[in-house]
Amino acid sequence: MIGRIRIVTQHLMFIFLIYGGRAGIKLGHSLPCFACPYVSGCSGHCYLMALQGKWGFEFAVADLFSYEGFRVLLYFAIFIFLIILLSKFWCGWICPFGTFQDWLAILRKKTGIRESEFSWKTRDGLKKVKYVLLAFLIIIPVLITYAGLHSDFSLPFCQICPAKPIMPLFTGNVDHFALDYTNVITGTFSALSIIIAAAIIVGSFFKDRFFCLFCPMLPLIQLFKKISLLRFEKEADLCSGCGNCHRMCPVDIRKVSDERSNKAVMDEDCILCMKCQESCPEDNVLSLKFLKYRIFLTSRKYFIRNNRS
Amino acid sequence: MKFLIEIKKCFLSLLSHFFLTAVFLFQSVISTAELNLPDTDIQSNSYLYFQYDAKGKEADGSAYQVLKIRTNNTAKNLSEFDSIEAYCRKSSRPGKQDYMAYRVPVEKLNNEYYVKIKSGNYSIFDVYVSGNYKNNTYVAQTVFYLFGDGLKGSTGKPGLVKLPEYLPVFELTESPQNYWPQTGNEFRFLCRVPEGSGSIKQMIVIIDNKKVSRIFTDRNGKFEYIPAHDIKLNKGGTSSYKEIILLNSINRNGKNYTAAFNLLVHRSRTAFLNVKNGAVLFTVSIIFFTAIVLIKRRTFKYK
Amino acid sequence: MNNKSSRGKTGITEKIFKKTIDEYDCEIESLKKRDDYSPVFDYFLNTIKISLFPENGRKNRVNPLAGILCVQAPPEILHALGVDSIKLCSGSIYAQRLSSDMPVLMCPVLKSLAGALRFHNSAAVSPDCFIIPTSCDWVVKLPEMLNQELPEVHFLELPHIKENEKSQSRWLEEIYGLKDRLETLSGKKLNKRNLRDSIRKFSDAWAEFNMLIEYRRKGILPNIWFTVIANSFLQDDIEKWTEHIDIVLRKYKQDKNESTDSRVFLAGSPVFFPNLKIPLLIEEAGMHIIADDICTCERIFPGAVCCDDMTIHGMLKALSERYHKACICPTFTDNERRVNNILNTAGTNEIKGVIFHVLKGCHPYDIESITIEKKLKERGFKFLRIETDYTKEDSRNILTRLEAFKTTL
Ligand code: SF4
Ligand code: SF4
Repeated sequence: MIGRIRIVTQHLMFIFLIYGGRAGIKLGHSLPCFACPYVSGCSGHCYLMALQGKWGFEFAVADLFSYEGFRVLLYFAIFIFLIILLSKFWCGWICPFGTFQDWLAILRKKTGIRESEFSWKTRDGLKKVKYVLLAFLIIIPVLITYAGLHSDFSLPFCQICPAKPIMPLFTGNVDHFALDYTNVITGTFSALSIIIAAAIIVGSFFKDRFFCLFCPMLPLIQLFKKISLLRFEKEADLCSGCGNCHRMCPVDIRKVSDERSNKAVMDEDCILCMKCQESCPEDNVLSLKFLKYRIFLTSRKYFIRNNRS
Repeated sequence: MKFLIEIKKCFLSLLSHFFLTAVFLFQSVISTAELNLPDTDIQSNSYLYFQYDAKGKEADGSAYQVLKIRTNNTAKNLSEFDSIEAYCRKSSRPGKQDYMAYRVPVEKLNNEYYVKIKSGNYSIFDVYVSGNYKNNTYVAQTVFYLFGDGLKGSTGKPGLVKLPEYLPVFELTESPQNYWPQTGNEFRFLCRVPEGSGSIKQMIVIIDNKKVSRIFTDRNGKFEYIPAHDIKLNKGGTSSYKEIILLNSINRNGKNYTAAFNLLVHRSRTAFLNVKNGAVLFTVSIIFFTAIVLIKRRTFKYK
Repeated sequence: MNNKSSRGKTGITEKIFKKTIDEYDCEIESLKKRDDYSPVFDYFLNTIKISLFPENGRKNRVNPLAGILCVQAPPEILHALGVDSIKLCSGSIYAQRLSSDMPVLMCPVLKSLAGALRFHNSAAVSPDCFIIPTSCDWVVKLPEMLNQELPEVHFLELPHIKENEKSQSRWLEEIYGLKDRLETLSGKKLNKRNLRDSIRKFSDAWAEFNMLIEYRRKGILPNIWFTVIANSFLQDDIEKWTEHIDIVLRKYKQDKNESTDSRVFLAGSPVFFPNLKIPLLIEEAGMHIIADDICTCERIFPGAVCCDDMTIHGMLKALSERYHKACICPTFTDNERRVNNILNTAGTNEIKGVIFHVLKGCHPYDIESITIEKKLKERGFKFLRIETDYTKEDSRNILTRLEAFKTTL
């Protein structure tokens, strides 16, 4: 049930974010999902671009008390507001790049190829990658502004982000798959971008939500976990440890099944797809709350209904 | 559908481009005799020109551009010129003809002359500065965009005036990447000259980084110019630019009239993109990563 | 596969076999005399008896037959490969006499099972393969003690630590091994469609079984009949079993919740037909078993397998995890979740007392009873530990204790 609602939502959001600009919709520059600004006619922009660019870390702090400074803060405030409002729903339900990855996963399922797995150690090791990317996308703009780094390094994450070449394909634009021979830096970045795009496409074909394992947006959203209106909770005592949730999780989160005391079980990598909640066969274990309203509560009844042939 | 139209447009523009180039070459070969060449090399003559200076945003969000007024003749001090005046025409959209002109103050600082153009919104500016020296009249021109985005819409309403009829004068009639002129773009100009001297081809001197070249207008004063790519620009950052000066000079009744247009170009954003090679790299990477996954995949076999 | 020792005992075997049949019949008769008896239970009573006469059960079975011990081997795989399964477990007191050569302190369940396995020591009727997860020591050593009498034993080495990667993939390997073994046995290759269909069938069965559990929780379905139905799991074709559960469910559908008092939770060692001593005594003492965590009752069927990756690997992994990680058999190292299960079920179903059944010689449950007692008492539950075996001698004694326990609730 939830799964179906989610798929419909994802597709609607995909169309809305990728083509919405053509209908005059402008959602600004602060979306906490990969609504890639390189897609012409998109209806809103991924905040990571603003964050790296002149409305983020490329912004000189000295100018804070100006209109531009106000914009920097405003965009950041909107970003935080959107996160507090919907938390990781941005990832699992809205992000068009996530939807794209889900399509690849559906393709894999159709072809009957099994999903790849990481060993627990590798999986835990991969968690660090997104912090490296985050540092990269913060430090380089700062270096450009204050240390005179070559301006071809600007928007470093966008330049290697797989969404940049891939998402514009949906509007028929293949330009971002080009090698840029302008100079060594652009050449390197464009080659890197193409290689990464290929790696992510292959990766997300063989593994659900492969890119999400590295997405630097996740830690940013996670920062506001404590004050987010959406809460993902677990009644650890009621859990049977069956591991259904771990197995169904597209990003292989063990915390939900293994947590034995804490209530808050939204892991940093969680994309709130709610697959774990759907697959939990025990009553009242996992719940999703918006403010004090409960959106979903696991139950055996739901599980049975959902898994009926 | 749109795509088809796009292709058609591309094709037509290519055709017209070839045609025009051919005509131009043909004309320039056979009709040199007709030309009204100035007796001296104008670039060694004096002229006034703009040099782009600081650009930025004010605290209120409006954008500004400072232009330095310079003369090529170092021996001649600007203060020796009389009646240095600056005008500005502002429009909201490229190609929109509802220009309004207003005077811009010329500021002087450490013996250097400046004009500063401000805008609270997205606008296009044509800036003119004229000055006389003895019997000669000089005009410096340029066109640029400003992306102001302020709390206040604009920085006060200037009093509108009629723009003096400078002659000769450049008019940038077509620039393909309006707000981001690039090398390799085709710029089209119209060079207006005093009445009576029309129907002749004029020679435009182009000074691109001390390299001097010449180009001829057609009889109506139209010409196209494609700035060549520049390795130095390519190596610079995304916002690096160069300034190209286009000169036109006319001698009338013993008086020299010279116009110098500053064409600011960035490096080309598209000329060095190679989608084909990119696609090859992409395919190779896809194959490579698929192979890696298939080889490295953990298998569960009961041993 | 008759060997000398058993042939020499044939006369005694025959006698004991007859006695055992009588024991079954007697139990069935007495169940049929109950007020809450209904013909809908006949099917289950008959299937339970099948384990005594495997030849009857196999009459219309052309497939290979595999006997499964314990609850960790996924029957879905057997079904998908067209291998029929039969649950190995026994509650017969007479059958124990055939295993008098075994240790005195041996757990009665396995003693009885060992005896029962000696009834039919011929290849024609006994299972073609024995699938034995290495749960407790008695189980592990059973084939050895039976000494050549079990022809084809396939051990599944059960990792006793659940929550680490090594043991999980170790168990998955065991499941792969089981698959290979069964493929050789049936001469077929496991294919995706069959496995998926099999999982679906078992899911449907589980859904129905789950309704039964719910009916019992509500006090609609008497515990004794629930036990009988659960005990008959895997003795017959899964679809038939499901159908008959559906019939039972339909019978009880109209019934209103009975607000029973003296609701208790039965925990501990297995209770298997015909040894229904403890549940019957509890009933006699006037208490109602509303829930249990016994591996031959509620826990006989883990169910709830769900899987996203519908490839063979994905489904095998789902099965392996569901049958391993969710299992709260006391042989696992860490069983905090077993206590939690008791606490929660008791808490949400207004159960005040927990009766802990320990079969003499059943060490894992014996060991766990201590920690469980402590934790339950901390939370204010009444706790009664009953240690007994299959004999009826101590019945009076136990009844008195149960009655006393009832007054404390
Ligand atoms: S933990 Fe649950 S909600 Fe979060 S990503 Fe995994 S399955 Fe989805
Ligand atoms: S699916 Fe539910 S019961 Fe199973 S481990 Fe996850 S939270 Fe626990």
